[in-house]
Amino acid sequence: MSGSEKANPDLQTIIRQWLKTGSPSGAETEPGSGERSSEQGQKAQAERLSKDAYFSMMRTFQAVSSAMSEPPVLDALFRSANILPDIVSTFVITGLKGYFALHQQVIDKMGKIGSHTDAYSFDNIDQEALRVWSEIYKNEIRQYFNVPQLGLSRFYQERVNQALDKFNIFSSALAEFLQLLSLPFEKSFRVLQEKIEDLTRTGSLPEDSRGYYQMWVKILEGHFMTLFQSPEYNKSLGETMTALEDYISARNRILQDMLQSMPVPTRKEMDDLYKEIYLLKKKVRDLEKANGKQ
Amino acid sequence: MNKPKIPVDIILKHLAEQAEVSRERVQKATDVLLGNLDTDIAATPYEVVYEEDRVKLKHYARSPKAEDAMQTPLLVVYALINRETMLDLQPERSVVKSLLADGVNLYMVDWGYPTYKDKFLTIDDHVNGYMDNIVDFILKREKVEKINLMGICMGGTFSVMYSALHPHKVKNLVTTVCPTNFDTRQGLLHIWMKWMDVDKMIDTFGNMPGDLMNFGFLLLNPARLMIDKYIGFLENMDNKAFVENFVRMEKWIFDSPDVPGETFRQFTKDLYQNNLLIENRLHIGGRHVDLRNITMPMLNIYARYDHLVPPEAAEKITSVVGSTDTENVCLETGHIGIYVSSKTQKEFAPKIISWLREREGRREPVNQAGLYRRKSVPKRARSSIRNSSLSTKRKKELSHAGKKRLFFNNLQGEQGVRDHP
Repeated sequence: MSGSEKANPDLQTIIRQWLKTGSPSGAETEPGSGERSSEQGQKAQAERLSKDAYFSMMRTFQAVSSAMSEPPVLDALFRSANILPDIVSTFVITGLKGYFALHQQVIDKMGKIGSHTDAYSFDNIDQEALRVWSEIYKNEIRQYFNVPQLGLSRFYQERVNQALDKFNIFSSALAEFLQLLSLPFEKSFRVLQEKIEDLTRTGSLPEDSRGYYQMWVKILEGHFMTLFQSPEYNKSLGETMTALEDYISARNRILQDMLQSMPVPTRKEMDDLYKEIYLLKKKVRDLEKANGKQ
Repeated sequence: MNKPKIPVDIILKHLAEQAEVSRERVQKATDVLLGNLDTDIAATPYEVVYEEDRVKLKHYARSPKAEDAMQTPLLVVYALINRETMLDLQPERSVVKSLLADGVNLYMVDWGYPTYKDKFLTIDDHVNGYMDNIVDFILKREKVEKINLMGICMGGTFSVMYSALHPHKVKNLVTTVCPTNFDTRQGLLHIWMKWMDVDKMIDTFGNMPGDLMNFGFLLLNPARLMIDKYIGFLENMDNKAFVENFVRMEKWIFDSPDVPGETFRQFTKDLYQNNLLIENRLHIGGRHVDLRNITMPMLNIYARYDHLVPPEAAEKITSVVGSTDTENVCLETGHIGIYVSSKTQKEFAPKIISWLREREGRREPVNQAGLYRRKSVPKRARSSIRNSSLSTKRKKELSHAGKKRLFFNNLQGEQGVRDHP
């Protein structure tokens, strides 16, 4: 570098002259040139820093220029110009391949959606739809929420993703559960219709609305009792409760992160405190009882 | 002329009549609902005589009309689920008033509203902590050696545990709709509690939320509890007394404190899922809850149509305790009806009072170990209530103390007594 400066003395001279002309007073901006006020001193220092920066930049430019002007480097430059189209096409091809692979992956996952339900089977479409959606979510979509996160905020981002995932699972479990709860209504109306048909045939229809209501509510109660004892209902209730608990825990973890940065105690800190108080009180109670017996 | 299969004319006539009745009802109901309604619950005056944390002890003033006052105070322990106000729900159907009118010196535990800081409280803290402190307080205040203990539902289970651990402080034990045998598939609650992941639930919520429990109770019979009940309200909403009582009941039902987490966890795992109490394998606070220590007279009242504590869950206890003076009484009602229905008002409180009175004058000597010994086996109380002493046959088979001991010894021999950590 110093060699380059020595090799190009004219360039330094040119810059010095240019800087001289660039200063507002037109005076030479050499450091320590007479007494200045503190404002002037700051100004001079700023000018000196900018001058240094210019010099540094020019020196780098000189070094690169001189290196580039060497014959072997020029040869390499010309050669690279010849292979530039190949490099560009390699970049483009790699990018497109990546895009197509990702696209293919999504298409594959979309294609699998169909494999969770029978084609043209509409017998249980109401009941099946929610279950199918739940399976699609669990098998094909939720993995995106589990993609490993990177960087300083990875743990926070992971917890947010987990909460979103748990919320989606809870929503689908709740929808299935509510759908199960609606079944007795649907079935009880069907049974009521059949019963009315029978009563019509025998000519013993109730004569007021209260009679019909009593008939229906009894059928409904029976259907609920049957449903509640079924393994499907118990499974769905269990899954819904578990999903709710998972979601609340995940949500609480995010809240914990948020509260951690605020000047308020977190639930975990309060838990620790409560436990200490509880144990202390228990100890005092036992001691009091022991003293009382003595 | 033959009757038509579909009597369209009659149906239409009734519809028209009902429309008119409904219009009149809505008009009257507006006056009722917009007017002054007396919907206060727990209106009988009381004094809070003891407080510890959230727990309070209520003492009711005895009725001045009561001629023959009972000396032994009665402590009523309610469940941690819902509130003890149910015993004093309506002025004319109040168990509290009935007991006071017959000269009972009545104390009642008010468990209060547990908050998040109470989540670590265990069954031991409730039974050997709060309950024992309250009993000691009453003994000192009343200058007596023993109290009569009456437990309701989960409070009954606590009372059974307390009587087994502190038998020298309990003169008579009364349990009402009290679950003690959890090995039953009667009632949905017992089925659902078996598979419940209580650890996860308590780890998530801290305490068991009262609203969540209420939702669960409603789901036990949604057709009746979420539809039919309110249809009934609509049909009677022009009746001021009906509306007042309906609102009182609504106030009580949905006034559900949370249950302390560790207590709920232990109750579910040790009782609902492992049935340790009735098998004499339960430990609380490091102490064995030995049902053979329950040697005091025991009256066990339950309801035939109870969907929460079915008869099978309640009736077995008298056959496994150490006492030979036990009685099972089954009332023809449900879990709540036992306290609030007009029919059982004439049976429930009078039965308890007469049973306690029969045993009021009895004195029992104290042995050297500090345990009270039965002087003689009293004659079994003759109950006027229908279906009382349901398990007479079984009680005859098992009532002999030696047989009971054999029962437990066999049980322990087969399964081993679990050591408490």
